[in-house]
Amino acid sequence: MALTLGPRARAAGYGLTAFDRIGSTNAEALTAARAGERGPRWFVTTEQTAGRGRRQRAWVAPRGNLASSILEVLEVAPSVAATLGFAAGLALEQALRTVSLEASVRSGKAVDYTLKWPNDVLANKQKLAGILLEAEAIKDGRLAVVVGIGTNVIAAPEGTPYPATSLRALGVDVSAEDLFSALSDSWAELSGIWNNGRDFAEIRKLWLARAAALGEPVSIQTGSSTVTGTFESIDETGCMVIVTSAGKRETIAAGDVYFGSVASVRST
Amino acid sequence: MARQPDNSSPAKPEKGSDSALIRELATLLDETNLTEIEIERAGLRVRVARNVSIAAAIPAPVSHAIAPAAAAPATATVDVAKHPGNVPSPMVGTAYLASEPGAKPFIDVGSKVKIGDTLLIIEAMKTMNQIPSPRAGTVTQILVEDGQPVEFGEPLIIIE
Repeated sequence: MALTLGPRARAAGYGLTAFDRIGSTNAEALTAARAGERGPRWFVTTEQTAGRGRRQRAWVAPRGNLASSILEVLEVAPSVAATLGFAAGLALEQALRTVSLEASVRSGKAVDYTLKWPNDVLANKQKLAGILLEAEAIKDGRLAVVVGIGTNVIAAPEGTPYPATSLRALGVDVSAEDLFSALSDSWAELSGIWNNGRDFAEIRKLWLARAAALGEPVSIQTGSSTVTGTFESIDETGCMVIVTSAGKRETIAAGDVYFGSVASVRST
Repeated sequence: MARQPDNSSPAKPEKGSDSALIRELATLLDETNLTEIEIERAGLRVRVARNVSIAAAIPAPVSHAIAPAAAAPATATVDVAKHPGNVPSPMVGTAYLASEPGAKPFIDVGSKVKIGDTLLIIEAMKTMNQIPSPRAGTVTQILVEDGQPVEFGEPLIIIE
C-alpha cells in the first residue's frame, strides 16, 4: 500500500513526494524549498532513519510509523508562522479521531486525544505524536515553513523521558497510509481556517477546547530557567500564559512543558 | 580534577581554559547526579545545569570581547539598538547560537558573513526560525547567549 493524498488534499492541488525510506522528511522539504519548490507539498515516509525533534533530539521511528512534513511557502512574519503549529496539532487530532472511530466503535473504548502546548498530540495522556516546525527565508523574501509531524502508529520509542504510546498499543489498528490520507485532508481544512495566520483566533479557540492540563499545574523549562504555575491559557500569539503561585502572570514563547508542579525529574 | 587554577596569577580567563573548566564541571555534574553547579573564581562565574545544555559564562567586564546583553546596562542596549550594524530579533523566542547543543556555533565574533547566511536560530512554540544575515560583513558583537530568551526588536548581533 502506498502513501497517497486524501480526496480533499488532491482536489486542493497539494503535491506529494513519498519515500520508501528516508533520513528526515523535514530535511528533504527544506532542501526542496532551497532548490525552488514552492509547495504546498507533502514529504512522507513510513521509515524515517534520522528523524529530529526539538534541538536536534533524535526522533526514533521504526518502519510502519508515519513521518510527514508539509512545505508551505508563505508571506508571513516568522512569529506568525509559529502559530501554524497549532493548526498542525488540530489537523492531526482530527485525522486521529477520524481513523480511530471504527476501532473505538468496535472495542467500545474511545481514545482521548488532547493537545499539549505548543503542539504535541497526546492519547490518553501519553505522547503519541510530535510536531516540529522549521522556517527559513527564501530568495523572494517569503518564508519557507516546514511542519514535520511524526506519529507513533505501530510502536512508541522506549526510554523516553515522558510516557509515550502508539496507535497499535491503544488498540487502534490503522496503517500509516490510512492516517496520512486523513491527515492530508484535515491539514487542507485546518490550514485554510488558519488563513495565513489572519484567523489564528479561530484556531486558538479550537485548540483551547482540546488543550491538555488547562487550569492545572505545569512546569516549563526554558533555555535557562524553569517557570512553575497554573496553565491559564494561550495568548493571541500562541504563547503559553502561566499564573505563578505568587499570582504573577507570565507568557512563555518556548520551552519544555511538564505536567504537575515538579520540574526536571527526568533522568538522563 | 585534572587542573587547578593558579589563584595567584592575574585573573584573565581565556576561551580555552573556559571550555576546559565547563567540560570538567559537566563531567562532575554527571558523576554527582546534581542538576546544577555554579562556581565563581578569578572574575569568572560559570553555571552548568543538566538537561538545558547551557553553560553561561559571565566574564568580568574587561576580560572578553563578547559582552552578553543580560550583563550590559539598559542604556548600553539602547545604544546598540541604534548601531547601523544591528540585527534585531524579528520575534519573541529563545535564541540558539548553534544548530544543536554542543555543536559549533553558526558564527563567532570575527566571522565573515554573506547575505542570507544563518546567524542563529530563534525558537518560538517549537518553531525553529533560521535568522539569515541581512547584510554582508564581519560579526563584531554577539549580544545574546545560547538559550537566552529574546524580545521582539532586541539587538542580537552587530555586523559591520
